[in-house]
Amino acid sequence: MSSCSTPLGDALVLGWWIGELGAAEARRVERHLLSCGSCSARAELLPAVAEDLRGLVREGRLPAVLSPIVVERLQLEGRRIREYRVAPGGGVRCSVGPEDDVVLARLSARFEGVTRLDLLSRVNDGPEQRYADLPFDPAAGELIVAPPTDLLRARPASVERMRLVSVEPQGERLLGEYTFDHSPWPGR
Amino acid sequence: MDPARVEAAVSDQELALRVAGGSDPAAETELVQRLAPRVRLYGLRHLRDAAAADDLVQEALLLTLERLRAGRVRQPERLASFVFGACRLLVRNQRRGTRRRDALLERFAGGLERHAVPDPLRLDEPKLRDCLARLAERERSVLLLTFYAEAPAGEIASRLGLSPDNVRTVRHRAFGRLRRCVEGGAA
Repeated sequence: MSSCSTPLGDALVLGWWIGELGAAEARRVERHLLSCGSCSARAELLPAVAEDLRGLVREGRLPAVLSPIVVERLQLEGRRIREYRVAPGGGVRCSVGPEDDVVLARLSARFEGVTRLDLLSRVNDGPEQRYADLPFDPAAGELIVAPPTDLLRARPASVERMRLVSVEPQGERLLGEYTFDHSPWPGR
Repeated sequence: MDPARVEAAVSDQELALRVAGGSDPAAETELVQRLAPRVRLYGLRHLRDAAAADDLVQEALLLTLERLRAGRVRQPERLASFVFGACRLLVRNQRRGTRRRDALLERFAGGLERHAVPDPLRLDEPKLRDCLARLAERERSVLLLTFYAEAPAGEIASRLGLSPDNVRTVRHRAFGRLRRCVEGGAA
């Protein structure tokens, strides 16, 4: 494929794909993409990523911290969501049903003064995993974590302990500790 | 010499002139193969639906071939402008529920089948999953909000306590890392 002498940058094409460009700039990008095999081939990654990423989210196969608008969208799409809300210091017995698409751990916490939030997780006596610098809404009062449903479904009976910590110049401040007592779905 | 390589060196405009100049199935096939992915991309952007975008490919390219053959594209060398105008009109019609595809298909039995329209890009899903998992949590969240929730930078910023410019920076960096990873390099 011939290369382009005036290639469109990824940021511009991404802005076009999302609908953030003004009308005139969007038309300029579209005319270029329709006339340029090189730039349009490069831009094809956008719909491909969008489609596959949607599939991964809908089927709960992407480990992620979710924003409430993502959860709302999953609900609107009719996905089956199993949620466990846990307060700091609390615990819950949990499992994954055969029909569940997405499992959510909703960890309540107060985020006042938090600039960097880390999650530490340990299953039974295994090594502690750290998930650093998590995105969070300071006003939300909770962090929504979606572990991969397929991995949870395959997990034997186990206890997972999660800790949310605020990372501060003088050290770490514990915001909450949460216990998930997981059992395989009966009859699995 | 491989005939396909010869065609690859010919510009879109030359192909359009060849189609406009008379029966040239090879030029038509090459033109369809080049334009189909570009029109599909336009359709996916505006219609957000794969089936509707595929319909747009059929409609826009049948219309383009029909007009070229009939000598009704005034400046074949400005093909992109014609295709752009056709796409805009057809997307508007699709949104209004007006369909002209059936009439076009009647005139072109079999639609574009004989031109072997290329398939859309398919990713290796396990690799994409792995590449997404390699991103920083903040980068993954921003991409998820962008591609799944289709949230603009301003809305993501308000949800994550960031500035819109910061979101655009994170989004651009994350997409670049994802591209390098899925295309074979390191994230």
